[in-house]
Amino acid sequence: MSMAAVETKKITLRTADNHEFEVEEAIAMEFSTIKTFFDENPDASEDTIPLPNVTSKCLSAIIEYCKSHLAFRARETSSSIDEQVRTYDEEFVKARDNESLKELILAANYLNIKALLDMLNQAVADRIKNKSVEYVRRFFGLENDYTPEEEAAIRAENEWAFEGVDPDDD
Amino acid sequence: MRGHDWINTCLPDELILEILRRVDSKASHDACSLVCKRWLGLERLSRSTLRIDASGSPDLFVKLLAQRFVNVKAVHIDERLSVYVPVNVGKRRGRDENAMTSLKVHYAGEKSGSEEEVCESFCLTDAGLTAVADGFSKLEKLSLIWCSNVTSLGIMSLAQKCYFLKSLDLQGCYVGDQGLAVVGKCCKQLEDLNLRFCESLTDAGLVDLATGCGKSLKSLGVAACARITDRSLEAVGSHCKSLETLSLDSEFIHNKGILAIAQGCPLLKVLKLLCINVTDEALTAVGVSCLSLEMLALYSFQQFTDKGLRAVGKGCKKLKNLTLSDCYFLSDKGLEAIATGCTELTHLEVNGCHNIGTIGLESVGKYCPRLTELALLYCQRIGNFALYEVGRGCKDLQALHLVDCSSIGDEAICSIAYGCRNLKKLHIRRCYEVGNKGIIAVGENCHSLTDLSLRFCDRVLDEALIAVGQGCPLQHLNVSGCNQIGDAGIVAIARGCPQLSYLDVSVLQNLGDMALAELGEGCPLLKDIVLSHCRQITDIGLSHLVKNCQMLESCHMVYCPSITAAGVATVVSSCPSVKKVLVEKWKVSPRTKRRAGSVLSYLCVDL
Repeated sequence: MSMAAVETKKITLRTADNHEFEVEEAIAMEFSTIKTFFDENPDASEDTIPLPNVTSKCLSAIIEYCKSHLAFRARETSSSIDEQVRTYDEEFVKARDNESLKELILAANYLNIKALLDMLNQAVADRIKNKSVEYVRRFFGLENDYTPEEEAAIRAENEWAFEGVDPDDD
Repeated sequence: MRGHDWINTCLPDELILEILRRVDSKASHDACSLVCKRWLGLERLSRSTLRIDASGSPDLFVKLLAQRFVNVKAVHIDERLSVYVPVNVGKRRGRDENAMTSLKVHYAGEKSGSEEEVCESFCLTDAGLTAVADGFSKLEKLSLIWCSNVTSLGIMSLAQKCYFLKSLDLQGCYVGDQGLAVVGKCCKQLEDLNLRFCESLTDAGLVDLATGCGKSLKSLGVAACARITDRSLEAVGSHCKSLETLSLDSEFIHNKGILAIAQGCPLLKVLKLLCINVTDEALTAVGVSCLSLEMLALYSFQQFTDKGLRAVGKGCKKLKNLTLSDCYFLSDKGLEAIATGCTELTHLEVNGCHNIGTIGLESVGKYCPRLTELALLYCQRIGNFALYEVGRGCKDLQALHLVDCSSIGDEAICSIAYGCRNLKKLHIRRCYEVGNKGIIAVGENCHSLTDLSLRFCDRVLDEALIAVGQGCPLQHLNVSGCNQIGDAGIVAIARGCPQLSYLDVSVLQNLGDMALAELGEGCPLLKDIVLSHCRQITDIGLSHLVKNCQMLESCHMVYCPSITAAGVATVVSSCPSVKKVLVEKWKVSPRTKRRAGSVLSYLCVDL
């Protein structure tokens, strides 16, 4: 039997907005949620898996990410590959606005894709780095529920408790 | 975007926590804690390091902190700044925040009234240390700096509760042998131990510790502990097979101790010795047995000769970092042996070794192509030709420090400039032969230079700074004491180096307001500035400076006769991030003192 005749197994996923995606098994297995499901239900591989918490826009981005990382991993490890991976990750988040980053985080969390989730969390942390409180509130769509006195108390607490607390501070 | 709001409230706690754990700056953490109450809780959970300086009641403090910050893994308690803070400082509003706001530590100059008060430095006690152990069960790293009321009892209760302790730093604490013995018994993951001025520790304690948790110990430091002798080191050599770092500062250690380490710890990577009673015999043993050694630092070695260095050069082929400080008997031959034997050398410091001259450094230039950092301090015998070879051979050089090297002049600096194009940091102090020619060459050739310091090199003139301003993306500049530099030079820097964040122009008699105005316009990222002893700078220059330098955090301006209280007030009120202003006390108006008491530091003229 020649290699070309072996079909790569495909898994069908249905998103919240009712789009169906066919992905190769290898990629679907990157989603730990799905992998666990198949480990426990080996006969279910023909069924379509519903993903009610993931939109099609998110899923296609995630599939693209996992495909690329699988391809990177298939190559030999070297510092130039690491560099390419870093560049890929940077570009992946660069063009996305804050809203879509958050959607991706929720999706990656739901699908349990650790590497993607870590990368996205770091990207968000970088985006709120050294920004004002207002900016962080807007980014996450949160309301201020402090009274002015409470806020002043926290500010004072921040000052005395944390002089030089950052880990590199010696 | 409307319709997507549901996502924001849906981001679960554990994801927010993951994001907060990746936020690394204090300012960002502080901002996150102010977002809303839910975030405050999560942010406090994400903090892993705490530092407690001397405060009003550290025992109470620790309890409060333990309640809030449950995931803390590292606690750093430093009581060197024992400030006599009267407990009822001010009538501040807020419930138990009262206790907390009075625990601030700053040098607020008005302590003159309380000098006569009972000097109770409110120190951490054993009870406090027990509270630390109880409160921070995940503690991995603990530093107790000059906590003079802590004894073995405190350490024992700590050890019994904190099994995960990885790093322990005791400086100036009267901890006894029983404490250390219990640490050895309980803290089986201890990797890092530092003992400094622990005067009640004897060999018994350290031997027990080595026997108990020697397997995990990777790093050990012992300094100024008069009762720790070779016996301890023998125990370390027998039990601490994983030891990688050893730092010893003691006249009570002899060859026997070092030999035991050399022979017993094959994984030793870093060795620092300030032991005047150790001789070549020990260093030879290191050269024979410590084949993984990467860093060696020898201080005040009066008894060393080239023989020891030759053995190191022969055996320690992985050596990357070498410091030779005040080792009088080491000569060019010794350094040559290192250079030819340890070709992986990246960092070299030669400090006050008066018998090392040009030839020794030449061999470094010839045989150590990977050198990235070179420091020559008080080396009057090293001449220009040494740096010529370094410029030729060490293309990767990134940092060069020269202090008091009277034979090094412009030719040497030119050789470095032409040869070491990747130079990032150049610090020259009191090398009176260095002048314009050398620095102009640096400006023309070293386009990666970000850190330049030329202190008391009074042959350097404005032209040199003009060249540097054109060619070097400086972030850090110090030209203190280069008397001939004036406005023209600093203006060139202001125009050419927009990334400048640190500037020291102290003692420059010819510097005036125009330079400050240009700095205000050209360097918006300026964070720290030192203007002390600049006779011609006035309030006007200051106001131009601070108008645009909104990120200014510190300003030193003592002995500036033309700066008045108005200028000080301007600095304080214009710079929202200012953290420290050093000025004469009489130049601060009461109003300024009220607004900014905590950032003002006063020059002590009456001792």
